Amino acid sequence: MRLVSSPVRPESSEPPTEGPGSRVGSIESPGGPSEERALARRAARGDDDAFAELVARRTPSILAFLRRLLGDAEDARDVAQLTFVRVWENLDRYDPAYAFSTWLFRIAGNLAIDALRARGTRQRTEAESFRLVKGARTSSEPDGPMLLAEGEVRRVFESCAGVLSEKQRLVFVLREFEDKDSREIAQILGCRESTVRNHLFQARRLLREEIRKRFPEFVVGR
Amino acid sequence: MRTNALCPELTRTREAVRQRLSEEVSPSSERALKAHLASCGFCAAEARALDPTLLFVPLAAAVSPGPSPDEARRVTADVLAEVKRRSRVAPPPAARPFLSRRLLQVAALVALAAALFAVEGIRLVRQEQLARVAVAPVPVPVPDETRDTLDAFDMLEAARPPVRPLIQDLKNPGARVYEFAAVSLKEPSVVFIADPHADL
Repeated sequence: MRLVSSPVRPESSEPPTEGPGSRVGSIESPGGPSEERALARRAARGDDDAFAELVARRTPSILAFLRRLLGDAEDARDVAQLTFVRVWENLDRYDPAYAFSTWLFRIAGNLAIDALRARGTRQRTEAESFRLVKGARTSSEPDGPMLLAEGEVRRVFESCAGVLSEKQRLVFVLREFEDKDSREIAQILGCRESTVRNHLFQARRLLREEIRKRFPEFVVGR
Repeated sequence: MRTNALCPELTRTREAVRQRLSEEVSPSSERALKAHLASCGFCAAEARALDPTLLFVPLAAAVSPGPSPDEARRVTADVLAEVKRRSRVAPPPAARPFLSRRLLQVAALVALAAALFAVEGIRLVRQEQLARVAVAPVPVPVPDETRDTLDAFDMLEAARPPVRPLIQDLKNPGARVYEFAAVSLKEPSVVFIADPHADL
């Protein structure tokens, strides 16, 4: 197993919140937040089966999230593995007052930011000289505009996301791809909801400009 | 003029995208919009023209397929193998007795308190010694023109016996090393170098 060796900031189990009623994240989970809390408590007491159950439940969602955030399947696997190892190392610091998934996404997000920073300069340079070569498109409507293939869109995103800071990118992915609301993102990032909204506003603005500038063929109305 | 014949949802799509641009769209409307854009090329093109970030709709978790079950199983197996390997090297975190951490915290607090008391003690001893010197100052000749400008602190400093330079043959002309011996065993000696040519 190849693990990312970047340093990790200490993960607090108490995400700062804004306003009342914001405790206990509502990020949906395969078996329900309360069930995952119970599993985490058992795992913290040394129950290996409970930990294995948590990993098996959460691996698909964390892997998918990291793949969208990092844009690379191998990096996503490495960071996902490191995320669960960090979870295991810090299980005694998990506060069951918060959803396990909130804590998990926070650790994964921090590690992903470290990974993005580690490769930041090189990728930014590559992205600036990158130009999408249009590939095959898929279509469900033979006579209408084509739907863009996921791989093609992913390449456009990777190319344009270089203009975002790591935090802006993380917020954009959580909001647009993972469908989390501002409150959940604030819990994951450990910041205020207003900060999340600001990051999202800036990320959307920068991406709109970048797409219009570099990929105008995708944004022409009919 | 465009017609709605291409897709009956086109008008509603435009409205939802405009609401999204002004941050007024509800989460449920936004989900419905993205779900429709993922399946309708006409509306997707129209929506992208209004808001280019909607180009990324195919990457959304609700639309995009996640990792294959095989890949997820492989990652899970790797994680559990790594944790098992680590638990052989070091005891799992859950096995760490709670008290050991608590005791460490208490010990650190006690050490910190002791250090603070020691520092305060040294400060008090020094104040006492300075007060003693102030009561019985050693007469030192001070030039008349500077005498008026010396405050009480300067008087105390002037009252200190002259300290012999420790090293007098430094390469830089004029540079000198001074050592102030400790006034008590608890206090460290202070050494400093005076070099008018030092390039700071």
